Amino acid sequence: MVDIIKQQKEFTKILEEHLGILLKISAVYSKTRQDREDLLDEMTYQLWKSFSTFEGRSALSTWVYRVALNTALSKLKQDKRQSLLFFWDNSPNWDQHIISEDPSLYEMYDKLYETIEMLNAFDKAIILLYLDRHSHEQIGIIMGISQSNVGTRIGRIKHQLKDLASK
Amino acid sequence: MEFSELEKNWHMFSKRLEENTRINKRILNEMMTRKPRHRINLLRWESGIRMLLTVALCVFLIIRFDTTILSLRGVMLVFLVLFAGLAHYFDTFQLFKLLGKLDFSKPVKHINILFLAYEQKKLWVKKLTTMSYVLLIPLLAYVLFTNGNALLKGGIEFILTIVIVAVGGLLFSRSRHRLIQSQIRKLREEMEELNESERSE
Repeated sequence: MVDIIKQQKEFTKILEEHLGILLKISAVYSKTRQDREDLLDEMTYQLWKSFSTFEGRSALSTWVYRVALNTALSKLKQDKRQSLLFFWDNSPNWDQHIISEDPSLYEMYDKLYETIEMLNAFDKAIILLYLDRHSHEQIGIIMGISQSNVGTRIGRIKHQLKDLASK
Repeated sequence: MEFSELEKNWHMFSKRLEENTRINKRILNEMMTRKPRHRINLLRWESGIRMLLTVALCVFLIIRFDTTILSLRGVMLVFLVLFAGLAHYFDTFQLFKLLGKLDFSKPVKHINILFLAYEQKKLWVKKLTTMSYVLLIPLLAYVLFTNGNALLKGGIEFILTIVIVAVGGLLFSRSRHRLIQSQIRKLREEMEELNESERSE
């Protein structure tokens, strides 16, 4: 019992420290507010489930990213109802006040998400990790691909974004 | 958006997220309390609808049988409503009120105190209901014994309705009670978990 409480305490602390990662991933991978809340719950649950087996071989943030991104990607595959839900729940995906209480920044965040939204699910994960200053090696470990593959994909994404910007 | 612009905006966004610990704590709290909040909403809807249904049933019986308090039917209806329904209604109303008062922005300890107050009132209601049934049974037996013929002549439909409503109500309340109690138990378990994590902070 004491162990569980200790574990819960530790987990809550980790969750608090890495909540930003979960918020960013859930914002990128969901279309509605309901989806985002569901994804946040699912990611928290999966993190809690794998918390006891986490051996500390990688950095905590790497572990959080790996579990959270895997959850987001598999939920995306499973969730076939997403487009249907969008009809009756079209509340905005991203609560602007979460990031800032300054409305002048809303437009910038909207544009940011619009840009990322254009990418496919896997590329979204890669660009998210890249933007969060992870090395190619770390991205490769998290996503389960080779370092050179990461480099190629990032280059392609940059091109894709450049093309989209010029249109 | 050019990649460099995307990069700049993303870093600004990440910085904001890191700085905004107050809002992050609120989100974390919302995440932790989402499950009990959903359960509370469900219970509130259930008790709200049931309160309306009880009132609607009473109104229907009064209108359908053109009952006045001074008639024999009126007395039976009042007994039914008062002793079989009112205590039950009171319990639902108390639960509805309690669920409305639950506020997750306050410490869980405060919520637990509200639950304790509800449990105490429930005990009081249970005592009152038992006492009422003890009084009701001989009273109804007396009414039926002395006015049985009059009742059977003019109101077989009325008696049948009363019996169906009473038995149906009793069966419904028994099954519902089990369901509600299990929901409340789960809710309290979740509260206890939150309490533990609050205590350990």
